[in-house]
Amino acid sequence: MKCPLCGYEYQPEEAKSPCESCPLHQSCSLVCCPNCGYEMLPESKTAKKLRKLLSFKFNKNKVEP
Amino acid sequence: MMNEQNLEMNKINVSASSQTRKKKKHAKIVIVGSPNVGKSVLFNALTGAYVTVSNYPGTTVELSNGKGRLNSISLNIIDTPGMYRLLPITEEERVARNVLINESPDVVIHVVDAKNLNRMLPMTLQLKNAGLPVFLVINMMDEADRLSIKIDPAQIEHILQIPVVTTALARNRGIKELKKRLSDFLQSETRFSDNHRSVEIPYPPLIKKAIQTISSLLKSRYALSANMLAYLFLLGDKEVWKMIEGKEPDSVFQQIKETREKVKAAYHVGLDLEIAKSERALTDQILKKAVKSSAEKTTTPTGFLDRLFLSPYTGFPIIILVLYLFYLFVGVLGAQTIVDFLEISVFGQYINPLVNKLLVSWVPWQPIRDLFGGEYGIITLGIRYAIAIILPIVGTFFLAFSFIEDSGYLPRLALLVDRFFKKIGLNGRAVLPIVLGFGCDTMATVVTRTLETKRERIISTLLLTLAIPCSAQLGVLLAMASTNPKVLWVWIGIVLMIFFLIGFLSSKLMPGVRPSFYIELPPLRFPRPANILVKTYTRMEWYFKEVLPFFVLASVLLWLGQLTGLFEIIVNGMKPLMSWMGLPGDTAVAFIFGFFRRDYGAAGLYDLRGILTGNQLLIAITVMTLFVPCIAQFAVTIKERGIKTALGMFFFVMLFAFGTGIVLHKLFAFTGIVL
Repeated sequence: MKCPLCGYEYQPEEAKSPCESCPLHQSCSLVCCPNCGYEMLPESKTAKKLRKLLSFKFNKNKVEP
Repeated sequence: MMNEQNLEMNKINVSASSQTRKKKKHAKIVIVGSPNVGKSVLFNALTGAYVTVSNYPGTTVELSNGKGRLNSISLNIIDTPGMYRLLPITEEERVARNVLINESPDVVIHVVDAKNLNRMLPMTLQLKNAGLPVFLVINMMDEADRLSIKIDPAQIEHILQIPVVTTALARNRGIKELKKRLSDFLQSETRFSDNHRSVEIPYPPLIKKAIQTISSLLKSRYALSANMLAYLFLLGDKEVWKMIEGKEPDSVFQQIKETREKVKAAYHVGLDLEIAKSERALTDQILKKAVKSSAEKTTTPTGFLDRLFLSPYTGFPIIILVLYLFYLFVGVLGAQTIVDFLEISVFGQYINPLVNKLLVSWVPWQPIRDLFGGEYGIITLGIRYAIAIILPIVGTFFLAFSFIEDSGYLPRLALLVDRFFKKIGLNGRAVLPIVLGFGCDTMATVVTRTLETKRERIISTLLLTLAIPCSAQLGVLLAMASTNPKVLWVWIGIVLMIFFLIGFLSSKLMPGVRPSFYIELPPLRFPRPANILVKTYTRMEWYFKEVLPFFVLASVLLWLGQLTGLFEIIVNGMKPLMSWMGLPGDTAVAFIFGFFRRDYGAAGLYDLRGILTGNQLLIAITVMTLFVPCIAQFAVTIKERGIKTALGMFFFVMLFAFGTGIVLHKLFAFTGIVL
């Protein structure tokens, strides 16, 4: 994942430690950038399917030079 | 530019002296690096079963100490807390730095993340220039491979003249090679740096001269190199300042101080920023030679737009334009057109009457009918709030927010706001938790721990509690305010004014402490539609998974409260307060909702929009913005700042929020202003 605020690249597993101090972290699906704390959501299975579908659709519409 | 001659001279020194040294039997190794780069994994790989964890003297920061063996050398290994650079900000960084100064390590292993070399290599330069025997471990190579980042460690090794190994420690990759290189490095006593080995960082001439002047004036013995002490002194490191003051004669210390003052005066915008830029420039040069990344090709120059976004003259009008577009998209399209359709036509005309009709026909018990239907029923209130009010508002809000996020505007906004913060006297670094607060105040409160002093942490927490609405609350309040444009702009003005007031008061509380804030600016780009849609979908899916059960639960609690009469007692108890603010008694319900979740409270107010006048709307949304934090944020505040401070803030915010509502009502009554 790439943080949209500070540009730091990280894996969702790396983002666990800044969340440990939050009382909601066990039930919370948000992940925080280890560098600046900005919150992001890892994509769910449905979101991944949607991405595949949309990528296919948008790529199909692209006109090759 | 690198000083090639120095490097060549260094090579000669390395080979000459290595032949004259004896074999080493014991070695002390200190592992340093940013948080989450794999320091502890390396520590575990190098140590055996005997590991002790203890607090660093005088602090609550934990240090891990372990024993290990590498060929014939017995190792004492210290794992330090995460640090980003040698100039410490947090207590953890201070402890890590003090370990480097006080422990006289034989090797300092700097672990860096292969994906973020550009951010982490500047600390390698600082460690090297501090005269420490640095051993660089580029970790997480597996993840870099996945991102098609190709790193040439030999090139970095050649330029920096330190051992460089690449690893994927979490996957046990590269540990054998690391141990071999470490053993060789420990046997080579030339690892201790001298002036020939320091890397020449392209500082501006004035800074370079100041470092030279200060370092030449330092005559006592120190654990760090004179150049590094001069560097840290220039940056205002308090501990280094005290150390030099204690060891050097007064006349010399005066000269050192004067040299610093001259340079500081020349770089009034930020000496630390100028130094960081120079380190970054050298890092970029190194990475240009040693790293190949497919991502680099997509970078486009956006200098002109950057200037527009970052200049206060054009940046603030752009913020207003962005807000106006938000108003049109979220406030008009989401909150008016779509909400009206779903709430009035779909729920008002079809779903709610149908539910109530079915309940009357099939359920003979009134309390059960009230649980699902009626005024506060699970379907007629909970589901209606979630589907007809929250869904279109957060949907349009998240869509617009994802666009802004992917465009690269957010870090530019943070930089612009930082300038504004400084003008009102706030610490530049506080901008980060404040900006994060617009996402979720709970996590932002956790991030305030990265601030330097207790005062800064308390003031930022207070600002987050008081004047920063979270994204969901902001969406609903923005949508509400959008029903009356005059209310929208006055509301924004009032919240900004309160922010300004708190900022002004805080500057009186902590004068003179204004360290620079800098953040990487990714290139501006036009967001990809597929990305935006997936992000919006992900956020909405998460939001509804989280919010829908809560809305149902809140409806059940309200039903129970109604059944027992408790709810009516609370509402009646709050009615006088509502009347002092000139609000209808029913508004109390929304404020009760708001304590559970800020957005639920905002949705409660939204439900009353038809009966509120412009003035009442403004008072209600202003009080709701300033109103107490939600339960989660309150719990974090207790954990981070302690129960006394958290309760103090809670009561202050309650008084301030309702006090503002009363003052606004009296002001409207006195002046006769009608919005």
